[in-house]
Amino acid sequence: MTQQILSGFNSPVHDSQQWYRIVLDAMSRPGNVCFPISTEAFSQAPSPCSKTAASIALTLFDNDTSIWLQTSDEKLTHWLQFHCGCPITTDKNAATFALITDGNSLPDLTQFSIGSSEFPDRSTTLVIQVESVTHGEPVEFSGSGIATTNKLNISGLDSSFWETQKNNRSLFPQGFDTILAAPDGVVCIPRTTTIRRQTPCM
Amino acid sequence: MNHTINTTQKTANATPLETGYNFAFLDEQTKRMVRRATLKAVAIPGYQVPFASREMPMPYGWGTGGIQLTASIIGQQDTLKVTDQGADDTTNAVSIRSFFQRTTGVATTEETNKATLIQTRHRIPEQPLTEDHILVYQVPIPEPLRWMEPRETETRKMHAHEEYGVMHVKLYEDIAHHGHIATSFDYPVQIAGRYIMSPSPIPKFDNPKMDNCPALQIFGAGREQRIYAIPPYTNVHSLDFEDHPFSVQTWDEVCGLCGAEDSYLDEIILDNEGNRMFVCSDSNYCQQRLKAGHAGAMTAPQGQPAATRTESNEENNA
Ligand SMILES: [Zn+2]
Repeated sequence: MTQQILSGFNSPVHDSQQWYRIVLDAMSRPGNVCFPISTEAFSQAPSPCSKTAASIALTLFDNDTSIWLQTSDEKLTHWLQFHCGCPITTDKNAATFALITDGNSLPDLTQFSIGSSEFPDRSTTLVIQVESVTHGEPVEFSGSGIATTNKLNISGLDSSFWETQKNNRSLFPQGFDTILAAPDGVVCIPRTTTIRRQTPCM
Repeated sequence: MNHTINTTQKTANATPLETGYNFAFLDEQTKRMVRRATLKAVAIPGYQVPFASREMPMPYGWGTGGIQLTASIIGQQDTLKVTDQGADDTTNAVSIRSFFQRTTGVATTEETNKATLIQTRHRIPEQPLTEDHILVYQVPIPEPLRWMEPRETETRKMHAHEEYGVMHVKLYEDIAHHGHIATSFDYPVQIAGRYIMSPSPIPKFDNPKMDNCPALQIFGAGREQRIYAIPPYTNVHSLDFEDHPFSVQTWDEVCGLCGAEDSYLDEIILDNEGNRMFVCSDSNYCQQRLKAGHAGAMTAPQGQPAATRTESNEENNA
């Protein structure tokens, strides 16, 4: 039985360049919502990925990166292996990237790699799918890349993330970095970012 | 992003695209590897991320680290500026610019404010950078501790444990010998209060421009296989001592062409009699000032002192 695999980028060279710049911009300016002018890079994203998360995967994953997947969905696994050639791992600590397709139910993030004191870059980068980076819980970012503070709204991310990031921040220069992928944009949370939840009026 | 592509398109079309190469020369696998390393560099400000540098069609010392960074970043929408010691017409700058024209077809410019991507060697443009710029530095020796400690395993430990005493000792020896810190290029900086970093061989005059800069700054060392970065709006502190605070180069002269008193000046010998003049090292900055009507002693009409010259003298005396 052959399985139909959905296509990847229409124009792999230029689409991945465009998406890389989106991620680079978002990583450089944590809390900025970054989005390409056109998302018509490919026709259909492999469920349960949005086009955003799928584009980030096509841009950054390849046979040099081990991927930890939250879902065991076979179609997504095949799609990633076909287009990116990436090995899939079940060892969180060995993952270059973690693709967390449901931000509402996070795995234990502390099991991912934070690198070593001599090689803090050997850490896992989390790609977390969320519902929105323009609507939802108000949060305030500060840290490298941010002139003063950056306010934004996020929905579809389990509230345990904020506490985890607080601990993650304190491990600097070790730590993991996070890319939030929503249908309405990309927001990055590098290990340097301090997040304050904007508690609504008492 | 809406950049002034149309105004600079002419330069891009002048050079025919070379066929048989991938866009920007590097293969996609290499670009992804450089891109991932760059994201880590941005996430860990000032930390040198190792990467598997590729052979480039030019020798080391020609900015192969910077070229690989630019090649992994550049896209069709970019306007590229390549500058070398402040000038865009040196052999090094011309050959790198031509390389990207032939392999990408993107628009190029000499104007800092029209560029989206700037690759530089040995200078930071005088025109203040904005959030719309990415500045790529060519780096020969990325390890600031290398002069004190030749072993990579040791410098790595020193960075890990934030053991930076030797760097201060080295600078203090300068003071002991010369009465001041003699290091005037590649002056070490500390990023966001953590990693000590080499800013590449820029004059220390340029160090303050790195601090809290709105632009992303990325550094590439090809031979040494390192990428590091300063994210926008990040604290960059030039190392110093309480009794010997950091200071930049200053000149008694102003630019002989445009009268600039705030720019890094190069000395030019005019004749055998020892006549000399000082001009802006950043030639685009100087041209922009001339266009805007500024004039220096060499360009002012006869018998009429340049207006900016008078102003600057007053300020110097104040
Ligand atoms: Zn000038």
